[in-house]
Amino acid sequence: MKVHDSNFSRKSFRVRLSAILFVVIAASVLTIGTATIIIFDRAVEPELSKRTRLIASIAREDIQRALDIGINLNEIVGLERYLVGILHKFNEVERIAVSNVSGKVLSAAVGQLPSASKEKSYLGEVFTFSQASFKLPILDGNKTVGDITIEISPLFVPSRIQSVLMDVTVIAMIAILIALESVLAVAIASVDKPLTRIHVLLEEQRNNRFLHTIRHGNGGALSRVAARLNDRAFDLASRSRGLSGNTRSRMNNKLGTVIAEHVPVRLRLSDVADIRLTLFLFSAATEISTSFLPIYARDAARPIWLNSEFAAAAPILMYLFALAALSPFGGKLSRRFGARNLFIVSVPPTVLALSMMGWSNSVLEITFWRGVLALSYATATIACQEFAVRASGVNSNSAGISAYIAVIFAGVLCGSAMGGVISGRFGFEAAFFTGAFLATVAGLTSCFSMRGRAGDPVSAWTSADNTVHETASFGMSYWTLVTGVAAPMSATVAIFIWYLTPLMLSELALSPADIARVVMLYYLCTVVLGPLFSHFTKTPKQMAVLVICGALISVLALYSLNFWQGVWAIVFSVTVLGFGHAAIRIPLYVLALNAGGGQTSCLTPMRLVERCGAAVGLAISALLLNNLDVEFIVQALAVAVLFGIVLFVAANAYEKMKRGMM
Amino acid sequence: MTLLRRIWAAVIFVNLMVLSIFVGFSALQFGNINSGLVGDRLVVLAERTAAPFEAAAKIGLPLSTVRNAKALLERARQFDEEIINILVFDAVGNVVQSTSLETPTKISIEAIAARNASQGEPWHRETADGFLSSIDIVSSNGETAGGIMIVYPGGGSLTRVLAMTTKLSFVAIVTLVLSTVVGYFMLSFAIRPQLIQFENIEANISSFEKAAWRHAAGDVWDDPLHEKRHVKSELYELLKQTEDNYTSIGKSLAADKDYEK
Amino acid sequence: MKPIALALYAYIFVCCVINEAAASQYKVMIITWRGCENACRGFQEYLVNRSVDAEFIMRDANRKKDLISGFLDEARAFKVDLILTWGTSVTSGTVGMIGDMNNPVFNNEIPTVFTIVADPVGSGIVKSLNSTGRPNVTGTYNRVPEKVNIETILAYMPEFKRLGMIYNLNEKNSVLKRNEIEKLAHSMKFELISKQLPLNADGEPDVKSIGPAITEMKAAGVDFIYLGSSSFLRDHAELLTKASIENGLPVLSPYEDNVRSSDALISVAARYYDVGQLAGRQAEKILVEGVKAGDIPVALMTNFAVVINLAVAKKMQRFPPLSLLQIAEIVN
Repeated sequence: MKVHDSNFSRKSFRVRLSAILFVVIAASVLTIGTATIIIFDRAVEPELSKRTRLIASIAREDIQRALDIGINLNEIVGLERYLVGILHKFNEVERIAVSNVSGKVLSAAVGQLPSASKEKSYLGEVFTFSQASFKLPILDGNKTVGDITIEISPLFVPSRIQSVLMDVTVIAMIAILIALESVLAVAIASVDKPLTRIHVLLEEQRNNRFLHTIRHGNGGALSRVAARLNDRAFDLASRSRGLSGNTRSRMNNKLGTVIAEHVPVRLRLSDVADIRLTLFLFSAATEISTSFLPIYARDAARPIWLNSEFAAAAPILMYLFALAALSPFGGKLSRRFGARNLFIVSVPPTVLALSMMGWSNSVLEITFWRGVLALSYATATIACQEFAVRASGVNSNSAGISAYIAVIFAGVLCGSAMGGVISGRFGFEAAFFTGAFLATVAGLTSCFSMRGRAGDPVSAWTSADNTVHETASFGMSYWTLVTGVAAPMSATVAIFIWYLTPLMLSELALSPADIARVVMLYYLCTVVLGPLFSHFTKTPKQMAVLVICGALISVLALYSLNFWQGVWAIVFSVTVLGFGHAAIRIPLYVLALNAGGGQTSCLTPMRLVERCGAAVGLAISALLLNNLDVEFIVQALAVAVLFGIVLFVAANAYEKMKRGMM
Repeated sequence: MTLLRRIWAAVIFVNLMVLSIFVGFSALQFGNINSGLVGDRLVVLAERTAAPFEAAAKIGLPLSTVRNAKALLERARQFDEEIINILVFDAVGNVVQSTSLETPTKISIEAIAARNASQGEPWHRETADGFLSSIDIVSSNGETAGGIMIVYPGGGSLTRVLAMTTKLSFVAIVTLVLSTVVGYFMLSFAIRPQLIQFENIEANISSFEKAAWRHAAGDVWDDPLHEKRHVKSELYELLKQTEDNYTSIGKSLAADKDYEK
Repeated sequence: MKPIALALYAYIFVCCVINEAAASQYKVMIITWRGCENACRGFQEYLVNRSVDAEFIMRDANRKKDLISGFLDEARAFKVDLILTWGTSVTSGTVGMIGDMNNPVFNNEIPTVFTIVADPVGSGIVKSLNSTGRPNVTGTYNRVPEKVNIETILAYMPEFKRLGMIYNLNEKNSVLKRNEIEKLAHSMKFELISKQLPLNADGEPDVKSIGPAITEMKAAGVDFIYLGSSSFLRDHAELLTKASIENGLPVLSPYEDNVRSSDALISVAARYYDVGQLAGRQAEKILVEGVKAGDIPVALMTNFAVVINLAVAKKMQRFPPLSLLQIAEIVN
């Protein structure tokens, strides 16, 4: 009985293996994460108690000084003012009171209403905390004359532990993202690629083509088959070289064979997953400073004419403008020199730029090197995008773009989280040098991972390889997609996520760490939901519907701030916006590629418009913010997105009507 | 089984790498947390040390003119014997008083940078020389009259971080061992059909090789797959077909070569 | 005969040499107002500790201005190297005002260091603290700004609204201080109730009028008494503080010793001994380093303390607040 080989579905094996590996590793991370939280909690909580006890001790010392010089406890002047001062300075103190020996309260200061503080967070039920109040006796000579009682908010310790929980969660996220990429690399390298190579070569040899050889691994049955198939090609090529030209061509014509004239060439297959680990490391490297760059730039030396706010924004603006400047050329460079070469060439300037940013002392130097980083980031990511599109083939652009976008955003998340942790411990310079190291590793991995044909220049592609259509149409639907969907989305990210959200949350007294966590929610949505959405939408029609729904969800997210204000309103808005954009991103690129006939050159106008949109949008809002409310700018963004999607729908309807008439 | 073992080895390696990264970053983050906790405690001390100087500033006395400043600082220093130094500095960072014998003339550059960044709020930093914690003192007209800075050793912090790293490493090792065992069983159960299919592929390859060398010795192409548990796949056919192609092309080449001679 | 003469000449010669060797390098005249107190002692001990070989010629005016010109004549006769003047009256009597630079009645040639002068600029002795404007005059300045005194009163008594002040028309510094406080009253939003001490037949302030003046101030609703700047009131501080305590009025004095020994409640001041030491440093610059007096800015005192007399606070049942306790030196 013959069984078709598709019974061993390579895709299903890859998916299943990846899932199992991911579950095992995620379970490990969650186990150690939980243990870490408990260990941290046990280490942190006594320290918090020490602080509160110190506050009480010092207050007692001050009061005892009055007693030592002869003032009785009930005669101390200004005691209430003094206690109120303590309350204002240490916000965890909820109540502080001085009582005499019979328990009568002589003076007290109370913070927030006691009833509000009686709510215990869920953490208070999970972890047991030590006492929330301290009572220290006050002595006059050898006699106790009273006591000082200090009560701390029961939410203080849990809120600090909650902060620890958030920190551990972020670290777990870093570990899981790294695990995901490593797992996929393992899954593919184990069976998938060796089997694919053998099948491709067998098909060639079945058609009497003996042009290629393949890598034959380290042993096992597959390795033996590969060696066998390789040897056939070598053998025939060597024997064929021994014949005269005429005899050789006569034989080839007679048998219909194609034998290598010299040495058979190594067959290099490309897979979208080839770039995952490389791009992930590179993206993490370049985003390592995201969480602290504005602060780093603001605190650097600057000329007198440059104020601190603009100093903080300068590297971001330079980054956006440099990206926009290179966008028109990145695709051409990739097609001319090959995605692999372009990526490798981008790595040294990236390493240099990151190192120099760490060494820079002035905001002008930082801005300059950020610009250099932006240029090399643009070329590297465009190279990877070109590789992904070519590797996935014209019928599977969705898979390629999905992988590309998910990995970029995963790298952003991971890099910014890592940068936050490293800079907090070792300083900003260490974070930059870590980024430089990661970029170097990315460059080294690319030498092995991007060996496939998708990394070759277009000139090296044969017509058989070139499965894209020659004609590209930049019709109305393409341009409305670019200007009505891509540009507003990009502008929304730059203005709302990068600029306004940190500003609004900072005004609501959120710490930089909490602001970073809120912004991360946006990226998390894209990483998690983006591939899911693209998995379930296959046809251009489905993708267009997804784009429209995503845009409408974005409008809802932005407009919701009209009705609901506060920290949670912003969190909701950011998350829903992430949801909406996760729905848009991948279909956007796939629709653009389809409109462009599968040619990657059609992504060039979109990249340019996206990046210009972001840069111009950010610059305009920074200028307008002096005169207009944040709410007005957010509403204007919502209107722009809505207008853009209406334009897109109208253009598509018009083109459909035109096609119907023809 | 070989495939399973290879994949299992890869799981162990990836797991080890991920757990190491997790432990590394957690230790770093704990260092940050610990630094924050020590700093918070020192801020309490700085606040209370500043109180008498604030009282002086509020009545308009410049910080450098407080006669009993040294005594006030020493009283604060005695709250924690580990404190290296407590400094009083003026609005531009010149040190006007300190508890240590060697009084620096100005606060360090790192302290100045941290002070500028904090914009009047209490701050703390961990530097190569230890912990710095400071608070500004505001005079009666609302302007900064100067500040207090506490210098604290950082050695204890490193010890705590190393201790935490050891604890986490132990947990990581236990987790690795458990996940390795669980992972093996999960893999062998979850991808069992694929493992069997792969085994089938290997069996097909082996049987092709057997058939090929028998065929080379004159036997006909036969299906040596006698074991019922293995099923002949398309791979076998492809291998056989390509072997035939190769053989016939090879023979043609040999004939053409003889002809040329 | 010849050997005896020779021996005699030798003896005289040796005596002269020894005498020459025994004479100090510098002659310093110290003119005080009411005897040598802490500032005067601080000055002398500074120079002694710094091994400045100085002979101190002590002259005390005993609160009489007319004696000062005689001291100046003596200083010229002794060819002293430096004069230390204590207080505004002695200083103005010795060197005159800034307009008296060419007046031979006053000292315009011998280097002079003044000390314990409440307001050298206001009283016209020097042009400014940075540059005296007088080639032979420099000194020390030991007062906190008056704003500090008022802020201290506010810190002690947040509900303070009215300040009482007695001043002596005979003392320029006393009048100047009163005027300064009046200006401050507008900006710091308190009311000044001031009373000039009546002069007796000798043209001196009447000691007996201090008590009634305090009683009048109490009736006017004064919350706190400020002693201002007056050697007369300083010398009779005990009368003033006794009357104040009887009337339940706390006293802030710019003189620390009034708190330590005369029942004033609180002061924000420098120690006179320290001020004397500072004057000694000025003198050292002139005598040893050879700097011209007029080239040395007036030295500002840099060590002040808030001193509180707890016994007085207890008597008045008016204890200092915790905020001041954190910084104050407590006596009694």
